[in-house]
Amino acid sequence: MSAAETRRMPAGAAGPLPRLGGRLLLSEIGMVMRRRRNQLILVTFAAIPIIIGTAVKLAAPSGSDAGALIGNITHNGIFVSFTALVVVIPIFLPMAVAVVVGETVAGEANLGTLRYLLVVPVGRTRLLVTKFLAVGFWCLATALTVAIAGLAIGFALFPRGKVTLLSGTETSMVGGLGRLSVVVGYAALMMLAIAAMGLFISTLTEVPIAAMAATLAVAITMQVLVAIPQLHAVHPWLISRYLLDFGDVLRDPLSFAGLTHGCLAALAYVGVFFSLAWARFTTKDVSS
Amino acid sequence: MSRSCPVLLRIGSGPLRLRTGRGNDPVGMSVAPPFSSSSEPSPLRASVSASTRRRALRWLAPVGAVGVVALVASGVLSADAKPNLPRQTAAQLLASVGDSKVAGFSGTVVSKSSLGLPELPQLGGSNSSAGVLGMLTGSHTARVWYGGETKQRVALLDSLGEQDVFRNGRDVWQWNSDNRTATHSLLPADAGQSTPTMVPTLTPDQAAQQALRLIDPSTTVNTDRTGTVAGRSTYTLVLTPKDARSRVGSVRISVDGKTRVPLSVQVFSRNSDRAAIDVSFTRVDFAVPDDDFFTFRPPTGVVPEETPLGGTANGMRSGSLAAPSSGGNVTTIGKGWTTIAKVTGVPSIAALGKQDGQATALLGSLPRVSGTWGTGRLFTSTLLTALITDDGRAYVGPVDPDLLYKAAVGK
Repeated sequence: MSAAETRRMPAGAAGPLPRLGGRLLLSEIGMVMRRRRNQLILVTFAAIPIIIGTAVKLAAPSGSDAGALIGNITHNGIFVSFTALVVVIPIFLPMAVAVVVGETVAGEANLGTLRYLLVVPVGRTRLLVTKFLAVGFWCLATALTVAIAGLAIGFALFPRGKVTLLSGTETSMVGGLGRLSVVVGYAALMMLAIAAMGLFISTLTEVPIAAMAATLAVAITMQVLVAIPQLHAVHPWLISRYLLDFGDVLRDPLSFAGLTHGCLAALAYVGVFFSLAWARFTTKDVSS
Repeated sequence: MSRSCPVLLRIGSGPLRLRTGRGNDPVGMSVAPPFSSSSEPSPLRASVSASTRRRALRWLAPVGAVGVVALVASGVLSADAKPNLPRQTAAQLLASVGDSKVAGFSGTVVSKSSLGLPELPQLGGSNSSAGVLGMLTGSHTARVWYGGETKQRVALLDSLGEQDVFRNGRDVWQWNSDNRTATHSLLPADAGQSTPTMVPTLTPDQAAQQALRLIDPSTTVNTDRTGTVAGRSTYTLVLTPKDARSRVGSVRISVDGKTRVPLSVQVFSRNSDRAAIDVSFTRVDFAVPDDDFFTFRPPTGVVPEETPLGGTANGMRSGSLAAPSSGGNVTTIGKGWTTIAKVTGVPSIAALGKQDGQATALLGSLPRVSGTWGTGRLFTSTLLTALITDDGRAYVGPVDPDLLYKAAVGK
């Protein structure tokens, strides 16, 4: 299935441009979600919380320092989701994002479909925004998959009911689910920041695999830099530093301090790298 | 067809084209209207240069984005106006700090220590504060609530964990999220304002009180320029020890201009201009917190442990500003800025090896020293020195090693 094929729409019959933009977005999202490897990624992601839940069910972590989240699983199934998110956020989610975002521009260029795509009466800016929004949808979809699969397995194997927060106080199940959705949103925003870097890289090359690898390499390099305490001067500038900063959501009283900081950092990444991608994509010569 | 569309024009090397275009047709750029290239082919080159230039301008967008981020991050936009506080002498300031009384406050405290201990990479992603080593290095965040002398709460935050101490009246609860344990103790009925410090952290308030206690003839007190801490205008007190044997170069205390509560304490060593210890509020609110903040109910499924108070985690307090006063097997030698803490019953390296491999490796790497007092290992840093003798004593203080040896001779 070629990329151009899926949006073969007659320009005249397309109606007003906003509607065309909406259709373009839907077609982009459809392309991402229909791709076989992306579906496989989602299946794999759904398997991660299932593995965690089953493992904890078979051998509950005992001992003093099992960690707050995984230690809570046996008391409430919702913590399977939280634990699984902590597991996937540093490496797995960036990988999934890199695979999709690397494809966006470089993939079309590689297939030779980019120039046909530009014939559609949609400006390059709008095209880029649409592609980025589709990637944003993908970020949210991956994080949601992990969370929902975690809830399913967690509630199947472990008790439900009141959720013990990190501060030792309890909140209702609804409160717990609300906090889980905040974490999912936060994870998606963090991934959007990485996606913005990937989008820029994707506009630089016509080889999608290079864009994927480069995006992932950048994400992992940042992780390594964050792990080295001697480099703490640069840590505030690295998005990896903020990936797991949603701990404050699980405290009582709820605090958004850490979260706000992380969100601002993510928005800064999106702002800088999307504008870089825009400057590159709208000025670049498209010959393929 | 690709040649007919302006966006598809090959622009290869932008700046170069721009220059040649301008050279051939100096008026081209001003004449060429926007988007004219496809409709008017004749001044094509001029318009190419113009649109090339216009496109090159697009790179200003990311530059602008970087600029905005840098501005926001550096705090230029949110910088508070210069503090405008009436002048105060050091003595006035000291007095007002001494009898500053607030009904309550809540806030976030960040403590940073760089005592010269090696910082170890943490690949797990979690920033565990557990253990003495963890407390002595790096940066730690705590949220504090204070609602009067008998109502306090301190929450020491890990990235995905928390240790809490709740005090409400006579009840003291400790909570550790990592192993889901709740410990309850009952204070004696006459317990006054002694704050439970099982959680190894000091609020700037407590740290400042410790430092002010050391003020006697051995200290010079000055004021420095006013500053801003946690968004509030502050006075700055500078305490400088006169005793040159102390490794403490100076202690800077930022005092809130309105309430006179210390909001930050920085300890500088004699030979470094980077604070060795920095305990500061990053956010503070002087509204009295609700009673809810101080009550703790153990979550379902957690059986609270009843313990008498005292003796818990004494060793963890060694990260505090001055020597721990007393308690357990800790005694102090000397006074003022050269106070040395003596700890007896320290496990030997071999015994420690069974518990904490990291600490053993660290201790084993310390240089061996010996003298009339025996043999042991010496740890030196810009601020603290410690002598651990082979027969199970330890001497710790912000002093030169000679003083530690002298103390060790005295046993």
